[in-house]
Amino acid sequence: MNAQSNPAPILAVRDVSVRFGGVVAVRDVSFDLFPGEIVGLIGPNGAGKTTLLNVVSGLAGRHDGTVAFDGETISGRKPHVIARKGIARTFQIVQPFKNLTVLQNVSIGAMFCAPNRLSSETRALAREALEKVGLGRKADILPTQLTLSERKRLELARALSTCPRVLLLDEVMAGLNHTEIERIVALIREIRADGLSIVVVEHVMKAIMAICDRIVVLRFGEKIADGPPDAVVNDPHVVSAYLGERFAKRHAAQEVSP
Amino acid sequence: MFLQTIVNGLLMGGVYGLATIGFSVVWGVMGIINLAHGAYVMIGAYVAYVLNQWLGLDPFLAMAGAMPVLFVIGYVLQVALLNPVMRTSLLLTLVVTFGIDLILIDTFVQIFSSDVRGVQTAYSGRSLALGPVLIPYVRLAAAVLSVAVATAAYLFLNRTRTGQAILATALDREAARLMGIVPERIYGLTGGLSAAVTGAAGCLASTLFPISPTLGLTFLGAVFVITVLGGIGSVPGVILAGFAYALVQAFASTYLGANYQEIVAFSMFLVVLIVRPQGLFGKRFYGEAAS
Amino acid sequence: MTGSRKSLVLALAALAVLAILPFVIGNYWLRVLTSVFMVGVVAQGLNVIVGFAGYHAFGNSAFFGVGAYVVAVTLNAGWPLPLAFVAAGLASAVVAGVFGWPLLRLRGHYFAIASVALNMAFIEVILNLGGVTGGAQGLPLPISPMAPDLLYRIIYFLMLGALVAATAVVWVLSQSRLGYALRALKDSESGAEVMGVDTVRAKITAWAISAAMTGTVGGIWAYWITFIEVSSAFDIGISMRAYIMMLLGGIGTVFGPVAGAFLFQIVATMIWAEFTHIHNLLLGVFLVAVVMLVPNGVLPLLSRAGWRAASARLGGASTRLSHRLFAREER
Repeated sequence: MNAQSNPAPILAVRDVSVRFGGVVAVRDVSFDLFPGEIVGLIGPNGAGKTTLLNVVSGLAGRHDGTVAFDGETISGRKPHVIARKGIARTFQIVQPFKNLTVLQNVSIGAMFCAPNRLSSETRALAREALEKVGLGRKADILPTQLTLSERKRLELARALSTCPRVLLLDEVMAGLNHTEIERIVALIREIRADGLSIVVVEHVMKAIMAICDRIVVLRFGEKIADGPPDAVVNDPHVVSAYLGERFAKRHAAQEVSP
Repeated sequence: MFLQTIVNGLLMGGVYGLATIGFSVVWGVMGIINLAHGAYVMIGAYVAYVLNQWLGLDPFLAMAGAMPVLFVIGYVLQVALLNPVMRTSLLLTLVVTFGIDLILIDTFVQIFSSDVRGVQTAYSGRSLALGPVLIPYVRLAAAVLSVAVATAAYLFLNRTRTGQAILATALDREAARLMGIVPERIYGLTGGLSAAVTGAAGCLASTLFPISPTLGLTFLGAVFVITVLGGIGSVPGVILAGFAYALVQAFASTYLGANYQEIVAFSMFLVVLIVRPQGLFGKRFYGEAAS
Repeated sequence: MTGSRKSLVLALAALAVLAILPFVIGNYWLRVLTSVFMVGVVAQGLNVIVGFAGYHAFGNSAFFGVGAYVVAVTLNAGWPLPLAFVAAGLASAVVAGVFGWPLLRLRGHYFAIASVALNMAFIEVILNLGGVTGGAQGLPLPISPMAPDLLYRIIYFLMLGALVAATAVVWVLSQSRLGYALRALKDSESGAEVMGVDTVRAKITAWAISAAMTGTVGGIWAYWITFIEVSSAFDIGISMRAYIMMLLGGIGTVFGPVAGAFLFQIVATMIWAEFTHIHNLLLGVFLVAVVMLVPNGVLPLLSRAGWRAASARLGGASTRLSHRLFAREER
């Protein structure tokens, strides 16, 4: 799972910058996602993680730099075009379609990502995605009747129903308890085993450490680290980004002294 | 010609701006598009007409009578009909205010008939000549008074406790509640004050336009345009936009013909809506989030 | 799905009755029913853009007017009647497509007032165009050589046909991919986009369908009353009344707007016949009363009805709902 064995990234983000008025939300960020890889995207609040996902999925509007999916430049394309090419995402604040049932929610992706699919295939695909996240028995109720954990999984199922090759997950574990997090972690591993490549934005470090092959760290819109989980969490830049300069120095001193 | 056109525009701009303040503030503070707003202008004009007929009162002085009358109407309608539905949906508030508009207009048709009426002042028809430019006294008085009332409204909103409470409620209803403000009472007050200011504009309008129960409908179009131009909820923005609107109308009228005034205004409106929905002078505001 | 079959049977039975009625009833009720069908189509048109897509097209009356003027102008130019009606629908759809492209990017209040502005802009344009549109004088249509009794019955069936067609379109829409796309983007446009929905195209298509329905009956209406002017053809009250019908019957449902149209128009006609001179005042009171009585008691029901309709099981429930509403009104 590294650059040497998989020379062609499925998703290549190059020198991406996003400005909102005078504020730079993301500055010159580049990273790769290789086939079958899970990359964690972490950083303090306001670091630009969600903005970066928005750039990839086409929701960010004007930006500099390019995003290539499987060798083809997709930056500047409309969100639905990017979705149909095979990049799916979830939202941090879940956005279920409140007036559609759970199954219908999932069917939207199956219907529109391959608009010529037969309706029986669409239904099967939607069912399959629901079963995968464990919501098969809730197919006919409204999303407003689901618990938060179920809604997060519905969000995942909706993304899966679009037959993606790349999955962008924006804080699917936020607000969940231990058992629920373990369940999602297992689910993400399973999805990877099905052949998807995944970018995970997350604050739950334990989960990130457990599932990611590689971690990219953002701070104030800039990339400050990119590497295997163990190396990244011990990187002094990363430690100071999270815990402040003073703690970082003490941390470094402790590493040296014993 | 050119100078006269500018003067004509400036003289009308104040009244348009003043007629819009209430609409814009109600939208900004409560997220309500009040389709009955035009009727408030009309009622203000009729108050001026009645006082003028009965007591021979100058229509500009009639503001003192029209403002309390409209405050009561605006307050009662807000508390009784709009407070209960304003948080439910845009659709319901639009339907209710449209219904109120029909009721108010038809009531005035019943009382005064649909005949067109007018008010006269001692100085009607006289003008101040500044070189080639003619400035009718009536229009000058209306323009000056409208800016004065608008300034008073601005100072009230920004310099008094009540005004601050209204603005605070506009920004964050829950935070306002925590500060001890009762939003429902503030909404009633906002509705009443907005109607009162609009009634003042109606008195001024009575000297400039023929008075009929449908007077408000002609204003409502302008009010929409100016609100969007000025930025929702912004008093200074609305006043500036009122002048901008009137100038554009004056130029369209002089150089294209009177018939083109409205078309130019609506084109301007649609373009601004699409290109800059926060208004020419406005910031993004509460009203946008409430839908 | 038995519910949907039941409502289909009911609808067919009602249709059979409506097909026989014009040979039984007098001219007064013929006129009332014709107008019920007409406003029913306008309500269905609103249903498509408001009920499905969630865009409050308050100025949908613009298309009624466009359709009316297209029929008037083309008939005066000697076009055959059917072609004139088709032109009315098509022209309205094109107008919606052209203006929808920029306007449907606006949301909430902004779209609502922009659509009203569109309606007002059409009034001004026609007043200024003059010429073949008649401008401020209004525009007479050629008088049909047919005997009035026959003509009014033909118009009755034209309007009825339009209502059946519009309702069929809404039914197909409720089952179709476009219908799902619209209901999805109503709740979350970005959510729909990242699932592959081309929201811009879906919204514009929806408004064009809505406009085509509205424009076609606007055209039939012009042929019916034989003299049009901007104030009657572009009357925003047309969309307002249609809104109320949709509210009464159930937004986003297949048969709701039709049921609402029947209830509203028939009750309204009966009341107004007694009080012609204060007819606007009563309409205003009615609008306010419906909204004041609806939101606390019936709005939750309405929204629940809304999702039930998503699986197109609604018909019956919405009618029951409207009955209950009206029972409250009469008390």
